[in-house]
Amino acid sequence: MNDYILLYISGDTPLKYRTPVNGWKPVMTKPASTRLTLLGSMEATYGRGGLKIWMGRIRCRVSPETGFGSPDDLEAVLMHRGSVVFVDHNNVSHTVHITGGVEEHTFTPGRYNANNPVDYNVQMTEAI
Amino acid sequence: MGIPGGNTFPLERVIDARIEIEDSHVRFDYFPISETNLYWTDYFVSYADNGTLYRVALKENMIWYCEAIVSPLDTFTATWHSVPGFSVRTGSNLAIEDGYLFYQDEVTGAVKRILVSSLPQLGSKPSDPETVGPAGRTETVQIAAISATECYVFPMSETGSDRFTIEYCVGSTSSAWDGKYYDGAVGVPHVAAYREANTDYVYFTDALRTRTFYIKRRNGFWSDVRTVLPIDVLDDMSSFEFTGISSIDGLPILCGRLRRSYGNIDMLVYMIGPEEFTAGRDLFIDTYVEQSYRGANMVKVGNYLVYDFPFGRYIAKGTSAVDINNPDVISSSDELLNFNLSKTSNEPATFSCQLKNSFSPLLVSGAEIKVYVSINEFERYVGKFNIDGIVLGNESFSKPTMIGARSSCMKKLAQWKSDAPYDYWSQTKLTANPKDLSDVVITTGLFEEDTLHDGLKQRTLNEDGVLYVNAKATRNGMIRADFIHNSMMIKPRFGLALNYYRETKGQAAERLGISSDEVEETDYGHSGIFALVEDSDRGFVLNLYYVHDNTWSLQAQATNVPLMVATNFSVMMKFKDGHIRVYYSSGTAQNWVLAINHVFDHETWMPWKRAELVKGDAIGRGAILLNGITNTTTSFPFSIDDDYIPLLDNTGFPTVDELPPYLADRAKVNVGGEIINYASRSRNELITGLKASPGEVFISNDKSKEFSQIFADLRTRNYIRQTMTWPATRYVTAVSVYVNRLNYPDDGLFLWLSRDVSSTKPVGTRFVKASVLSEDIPENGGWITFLFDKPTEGKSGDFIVMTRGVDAAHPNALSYYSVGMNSSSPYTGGLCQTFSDNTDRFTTVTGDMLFKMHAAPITPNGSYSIMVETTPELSAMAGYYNNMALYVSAGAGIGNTYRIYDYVWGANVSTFYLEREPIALDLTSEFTICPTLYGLTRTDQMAHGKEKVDWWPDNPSTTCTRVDYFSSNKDKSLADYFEIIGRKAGVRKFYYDYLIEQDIPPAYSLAMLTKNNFLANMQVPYQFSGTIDLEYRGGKTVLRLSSSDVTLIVDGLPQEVIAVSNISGSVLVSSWDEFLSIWANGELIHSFVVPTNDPDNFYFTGTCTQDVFLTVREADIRIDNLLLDTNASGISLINQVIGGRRFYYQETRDDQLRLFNVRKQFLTQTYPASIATSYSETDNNIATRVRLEGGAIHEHIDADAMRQYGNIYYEGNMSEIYTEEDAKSFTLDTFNELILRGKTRTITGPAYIEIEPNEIFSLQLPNKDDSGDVIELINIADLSYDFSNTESEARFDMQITGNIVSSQEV
Repeated sequence: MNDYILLYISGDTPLKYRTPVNGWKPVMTKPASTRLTLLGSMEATYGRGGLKIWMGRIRCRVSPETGFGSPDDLEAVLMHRGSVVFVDHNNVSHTVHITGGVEEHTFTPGRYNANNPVDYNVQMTEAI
Repeated sequence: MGIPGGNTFPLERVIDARIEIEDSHVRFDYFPISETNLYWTDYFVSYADNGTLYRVALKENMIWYCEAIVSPLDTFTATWHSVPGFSVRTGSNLAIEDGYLFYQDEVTGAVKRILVSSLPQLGSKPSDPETVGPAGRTETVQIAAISATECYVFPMSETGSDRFTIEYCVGSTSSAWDGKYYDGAVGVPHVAAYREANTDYVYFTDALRTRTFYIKRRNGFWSDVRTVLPIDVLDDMSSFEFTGISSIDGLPILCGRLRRSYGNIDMLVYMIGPEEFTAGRDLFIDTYVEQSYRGANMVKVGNYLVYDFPFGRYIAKGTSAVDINNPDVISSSDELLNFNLSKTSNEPATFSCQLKNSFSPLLVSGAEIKVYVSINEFERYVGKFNIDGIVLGNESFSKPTMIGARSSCMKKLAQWKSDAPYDYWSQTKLTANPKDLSDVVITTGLFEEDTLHDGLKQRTLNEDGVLYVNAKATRNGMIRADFIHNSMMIKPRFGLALNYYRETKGQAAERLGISSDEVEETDYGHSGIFALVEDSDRGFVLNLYYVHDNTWSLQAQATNVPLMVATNFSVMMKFKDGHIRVYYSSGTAQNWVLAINHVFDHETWMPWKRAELVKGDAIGRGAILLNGITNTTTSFPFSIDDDYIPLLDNTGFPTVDELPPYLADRAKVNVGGEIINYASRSRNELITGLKASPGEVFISNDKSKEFSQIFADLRTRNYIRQTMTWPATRYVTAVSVYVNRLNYPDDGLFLWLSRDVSSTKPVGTRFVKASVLSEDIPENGGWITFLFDKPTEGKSGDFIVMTRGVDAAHPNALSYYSVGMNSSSPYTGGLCQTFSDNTDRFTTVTGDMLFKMHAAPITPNGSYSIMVETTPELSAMAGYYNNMALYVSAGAGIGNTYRIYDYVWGANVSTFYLEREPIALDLTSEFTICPTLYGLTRTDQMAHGKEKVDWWPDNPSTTCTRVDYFSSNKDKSLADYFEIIGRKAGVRKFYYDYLIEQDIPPAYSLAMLTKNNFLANMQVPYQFSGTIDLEYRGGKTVLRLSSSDVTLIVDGLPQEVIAVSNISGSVLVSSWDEFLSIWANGELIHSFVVPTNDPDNFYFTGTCTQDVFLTVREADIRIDNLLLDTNASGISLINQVIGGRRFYYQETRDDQLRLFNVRKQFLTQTYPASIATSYSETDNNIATRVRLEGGAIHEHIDADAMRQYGNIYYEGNMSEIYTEEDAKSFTLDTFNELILRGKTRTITGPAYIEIEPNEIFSLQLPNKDDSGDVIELINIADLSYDFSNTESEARFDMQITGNIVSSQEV
């Protein structure tokens, strides 16, 4: 198990990012509906496919370690219009889309200080 | 088909959906050809084989061959080569089929074939062309190849023909079509042929190439000629000339030039056949450019359609519209977000959906969209829809693409509109007793009912009485009539006609060059083909005549016709495109005897007079003719009490003495309706042009005029007289005097004879006088004859006196008269004097008056007489003309006739003595001596003019008791019309529910229906053994087919036997009311009239052990006609033809257009999955008792419904009801529909995709009081589906609204 994830645009250099402890429990959903028939039975209909959604925080430093990405690197990935590659802590690769708003949290007022860690709240969705 | 997943409806479903888009519209692009220029060709053909295009042309009697062409089709160049060693007949054509080229050899005229692939691309002559058909021909032919070894040829002159036949050629043999095509214009038709399902379709244009026809042939049967496009007659709306027909993977595509007026529409089109051609959205190739497309047809090269001709080529991507599965025009997507589908009967289903993106450039309006849904990985086809509109989305902005569409076939029906009016007709059928006069229309003759023989007979003799059958005029057909001839004294002349036409008043006026107001009844031209039973010197005969504007032309004769008095004699005539067959049947014989087998052939006349007046309108009516022939002539006028009948000719009128004693009372005639018995007849001579004579001159001063003596100008000479010496006493008839007129005296001249002069009467006593009007006296003088009223005795001493006619006492000095005088050679027997009545003094004048005195012979018995100038024709024998008559043929007294009772010949003047005084004769009168019948017995006297005189030994004695008339049009069912309209709209696949659809060996099978009126289609094996029996009405009426004949059997007894050899192939039998008709491969074999009774079982049986494929569709009920209005949509036309019948149509999920009647309980299991429901109930618009009225009436009651709702009565009129059986069927259907309106159920639940509107759906629901469940059957009226697959929801539901058929607690 890794203590980082990889997040990059396919074809670019894979970069690592730290994640805070909480927030990396992917949620899985599928199209489905259930109804009670007039005769009292349950009727269930399922659609094709489903989604796995990660909602959590990614941390990076302005001057990252070797192999890790900076806030600028991460923002380029987060704002990419298209799928990106996400390798989770278990080293499993996913093709995800970054959707929703991305909230930046800086730990010191010096946003661009070399050791300033910056967190980003992200939502990543994978079709399954 | 069951519920997906097994017998239980799956309550757990995984759903998915996808679509396929096909831009199926065929669009042609033009590519000019850049290969070696063969700019003008006489004929051109091409065909494709394994992706290679072959092109052959005819130019200047040479065959040219183009190097084989492979794709890319639009960029190649290739070279034409002439093929040495072949010389093709000028005016002939080329044909290609199955790799063989057919042509006509110039030298022998034989049709030859050669393998195209052996044609010498390097210019050497291929070996051994093979002859197809006869080894030599004199006439030029047009060739239509049908296979590698067979072809059809159209013989004609080099420059064409106005009528032609067709021959089928194979090996060294040929067999000709039994009919002909009659055009009326000279030209060379374009021809081609196509074979499908063992049936040959032979296409040809008319001579002017404005219309295209086809004829079908199978197993030796030739169908009627039909038009490819519904163009009845050449009008200003449209014309169509086909250029070629070809098979695209088994799909017959006909190409041609379609022209329409108003806007100069002129285009190249393609249509899909082989009959009932499509004319929907897929039609257009390009606008027409004036160049030769003759022979050009559609070929398939790869997945491309190519319309190839000498100077260019149209190329289009093939699509499913022409059954080509072309990946280039198809795209798929599974990014379907949702869709909604709504269905109801008789309307297009509507479909709408949202796609995640606009995935393909093929996604255009008009494209086809196929929808598939999978449930638990079991994929189902939802249907094909045609895109009405698209709103393109944008995936980047999460904006989906929206599509609206309608079910494909139904959209075609809704969108297509007819562009030309055309009436489709089923067979015209009529049987009638003409006595009713409701089914026949009299055009000539007088008729009356014959109560003894229960029919209609004529009231006159020797006059053709014609009645045409009051049924639609048709091109081809048959007529049969039953006659009874009851007199051997009257010669028969009766029979029937086809293609009968009586011209209009305007047409008669135009033909005769007179105004319409002047057209008399006898001026109308009657035309037709007549078959008449007549008497000849050698017995009874059956004569075939062409009649053209009352000109009769005998064409064929059958002798030894066994007509017997007072015995039924039936005549039948069949006409099919010029082929005329006349049959008779005598007494109770079951067999028809083919008496005349003839093909219409006349230099200038068409078989249909109507077609000569209106180009292409080749129609006529059926008619019957009744007449009886005796001696006949024409009378001269005679009066109400005359004892003689003056005639043109009195031969053949036997006298009482000449007849056997027991027939003595047959010496009678009919003159204008008066029956007159006569005893004798006079000498039979007719002398015309006899001129009236004033009589023999017995005293005269007939000399040249030397001067004039004036009188009547002054009172001193207001009279003039001439005395003369009488040779003897004579009966004076007239006096001629030479008279001059000066100016214009108001009054004429008097001349009288006087005698007994006395002092008180100086000019004597006037005993006879005559006068002449002033205007009749010439100014320059001339001989004037004063005619006395009757011969008057004159004697010695009598003299002539002349004076003014009115007032002799007041002469006028300006306008007066004078008489011619001679003095150089004076008359010695008398004296000329003027006289003054004022002074009573005579004055002798110089010379004598020029005069001639005429006298009659001494009058025998003192009777009246007429004198004529003797001519050489007159007999010198006294009394020679006794009992004959003298008719005044011209001049004064014209029109009167006088019987002659004595005659005296004279060298100059001959005298006829009459039995009554002649009226108003003068010297202008001319006479005809005519024969008479005399010694009359008259009871209903009337005066007569010039009238027809018939010997009347009997009353007219030919009676017509029955007439049947049928057109050859195949009966068409509701399904047929449905398909005709559908195909026109571009729909090509149809689905029907069948009452019978199976291979049946009749010897072992009984296929049953409980109905009479339906159309049965059979595929009958060639040369089958045994019999095939179609038993109607429980077996009471049987139509029996064998390999030699077709027989009608009623109540076990054969009634009619129609010889027909090897009936086979596609056989249609139509049973409708009292008619039973049979067609083989489109040719009418016969129509029978059968007894009707209640509907009963239909059986299919017989002794034939071979399988017969028998089909009867629900919609195989005969529909009389379809009036294809212009600008009417396919849906409105279908609704029109369905009318009040309870038939429904919709599109099946496999893209077929379905027509059905009976609602089916589709789901055998009960649907358990409703999630919502509603129920409504009403008693509005329901009925428990229904009565329908049309051609028949039926009323239906339902006890349960009456019990529940009470008596709610509904009555309707339905024009579709023709028969009792119709009435029962439609009444029951109507009741079932009305009673169902009471209770309505709506449910929502998981979708079940297999059901359709108007099917019966079984539904399990909780009872109202939750006491249990109830199973309802509902008839689906509306049905909609809702599919959605989103992140949070998966839904595939349906909503059904329908009427509750039944409800049962469980």
